[in-house]
Amino acid sequence: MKRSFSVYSVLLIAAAAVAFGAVVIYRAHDQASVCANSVSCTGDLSGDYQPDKESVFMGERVTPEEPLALVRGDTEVLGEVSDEKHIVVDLSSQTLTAYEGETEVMTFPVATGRWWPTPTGEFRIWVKLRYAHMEGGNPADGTYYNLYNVPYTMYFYGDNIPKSRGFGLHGAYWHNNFGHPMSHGCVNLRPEDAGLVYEWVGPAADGNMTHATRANPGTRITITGITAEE
Amino acid sequence: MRIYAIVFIAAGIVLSYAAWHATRPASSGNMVSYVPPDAAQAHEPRESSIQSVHSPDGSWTATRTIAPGDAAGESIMTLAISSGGEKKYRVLETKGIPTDMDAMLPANSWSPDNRHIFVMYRTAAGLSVDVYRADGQAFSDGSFSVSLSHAFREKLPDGVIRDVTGWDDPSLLHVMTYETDGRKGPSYRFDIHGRNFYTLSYR
Repeated sequence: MKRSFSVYSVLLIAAAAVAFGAVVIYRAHDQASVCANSVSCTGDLSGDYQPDKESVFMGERVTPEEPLALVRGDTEVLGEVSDEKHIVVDLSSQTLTAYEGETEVMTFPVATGRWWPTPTGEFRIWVKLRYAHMEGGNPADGTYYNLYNVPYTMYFYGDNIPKSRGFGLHGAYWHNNFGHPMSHGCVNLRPEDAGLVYEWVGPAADGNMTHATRANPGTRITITGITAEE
Repeated sequence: MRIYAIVFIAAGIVLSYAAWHATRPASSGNMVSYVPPDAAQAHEPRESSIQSVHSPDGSWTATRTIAPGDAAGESIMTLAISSGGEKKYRVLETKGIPTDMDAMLPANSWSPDNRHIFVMYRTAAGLSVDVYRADGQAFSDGSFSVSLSHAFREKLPDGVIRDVTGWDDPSLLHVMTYETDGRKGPSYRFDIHGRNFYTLSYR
């Protein structure tokens, strides 16, 4: 009995060690993953407008003159989000189409990953931010960006894309080249179009930052196709 | 009697020219009173074509109008912007173009800061692009438009413009090219102020 107890103890300790090791390896892998936006990885998720901030994109100052993500009121009341809603982003045609069931609700041109690929697969929105701060790219190759007040940001995640990677749908005020790959991995929309998508998708917004919950789930996103090399 | 007729005709010509000059919507950037579209259309030839694109902030609408010109084989292209809220109307360009030339305002015509706009011209011979300041003022060299295609021929004579898709930032146009042998060439960014081309990286 005493011997079997020590065997169980050893097995228990071994199991705990394996579990601990797995967590350490998972966390290390997660940390090593390239973030689409390094700032979002550190948890800058207030959703608030930040006045007097200079934005830079590819070495150029691109600060918008006015706040872009005005509160227009969501189309759904909290708790009434329908899982029939579904967004499809087609990298080949550089379009985003919103469906409610089988019905196409709206479609817009987008700009997806040029300097870093936009992931394909099945995703869900996990948080909506009226404004976000995004920073990333590489100063050495001229792709650095530091963008404040990015309007209507909808971060998504999936089985192979953890939340910490910082991929999202959002408005882009620093370029007007929609319909062509132009991002560091996110899905860029015209600010006006992003506002319509933001108000339509779940979770239904409650303030400047809204996390998806079981009662207020994030809308499904399917990203498919192959980005043409232009 | 004949002298009176000649004087009358000459006066008519002078007054017509003066009236044309005074109302000429040249690249001066002068604001003129807003003309509602319905009133404007009443005077337009039947074969006019109109294309409009909203600025990114939604405050301005650029309109390209093509109307038959007086000369055979020529159309008159007019680029104007209007603000419905402030009831302002500003003509940025009026010029004659060949009837086989298509002048287009692509969906991405406006710069993201709403300060510039480009028009794309296509013929069987190729593509050209002119950029205008939305405030109607001249660029630093005194010109009222910047010709991307002219700069391209000067700086990159071995390439052919395939497409100009939009704005990479407030002053850089996104240019796709062909090699002279027809293969797909590199993409460039055209700086409308420096008139230079920069090769665009991918990943």
